Amino acid sequence: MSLNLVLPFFSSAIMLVFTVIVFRRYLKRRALHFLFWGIGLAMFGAASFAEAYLALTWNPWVFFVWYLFGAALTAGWIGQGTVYLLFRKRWVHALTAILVLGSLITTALMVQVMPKLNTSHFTPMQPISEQYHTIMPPVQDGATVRLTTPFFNIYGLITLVGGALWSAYLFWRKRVLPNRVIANVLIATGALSIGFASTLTRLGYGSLLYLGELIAAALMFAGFMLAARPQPQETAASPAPARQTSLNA
Amino acid sequence: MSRPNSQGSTVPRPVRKKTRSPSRLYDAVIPVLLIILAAITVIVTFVAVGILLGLVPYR
Repeated sequence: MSLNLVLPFFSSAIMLVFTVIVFRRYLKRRALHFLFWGIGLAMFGAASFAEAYLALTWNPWVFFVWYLFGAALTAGWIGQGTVYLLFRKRWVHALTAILVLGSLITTALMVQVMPKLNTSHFTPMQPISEQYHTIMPPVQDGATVRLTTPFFNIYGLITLVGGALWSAYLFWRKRVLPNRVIANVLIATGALSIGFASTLTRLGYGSLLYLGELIAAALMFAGFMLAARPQPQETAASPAPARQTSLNA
Repeated sequence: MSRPNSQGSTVPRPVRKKTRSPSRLYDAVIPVLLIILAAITVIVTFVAVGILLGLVPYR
């Protein structure tokens, strides 16, 4: 087994720990951004596990999980968590309704394409990201689901990376919490690495996807933990702290 | 840093302490890094929009 095929095992292990920590934080604080991040990270972990599984053998429903979560939904759901953190307005709920509706439509389209998968083209020990386009039919032959993925990925990229960069800039400009500046830079870099690798995959260069995912999982997890680390000035800070904008708030 | 409340006594306004920047390197590198990451984000977004609009060929 090549090194590239082992990478998803590490990614899914990191994402499992990451997801549990984020969901525990949601249960403690009941903040919606933790819920959406947790759901998105769980999707990321499931897609990574599906990649690892598909490196060994074929299963149509594992492929279903890989494409639906990995290619389509993950970025949008994690990004929605960032939107909840940065904008505590009612219109965010409208965006959530659109996201949920879009996710349901995408799931239905994915179910629709399942009988049309050409599994004779599947080769074990080859990354699924390099062969999925021969397994799935083209858009004009019924794989309409392939048209939906850019919507989620563009939305997720702009909200997650944009939110992290904006948070980093605010903390840097105010000269406070340097750990959160660096944490947000790590999160933005991690999210960009998976966005970059996903775009390359869509352009036909899928061999870098697993590495991009591992870098994303490691950097985003490191950023989250760094932001969570208490700073001396936080304990001495005001009883009504300034609005949190870090991805770990 | 303080102002009278409704009872007339002064209450110290909450203060959020600023921390000094960790180093000059931090002050110099962070903005450059943010600009580079923002530029890459814009490029990747444009490519993704190009794929969505069918302007960029994909497999």
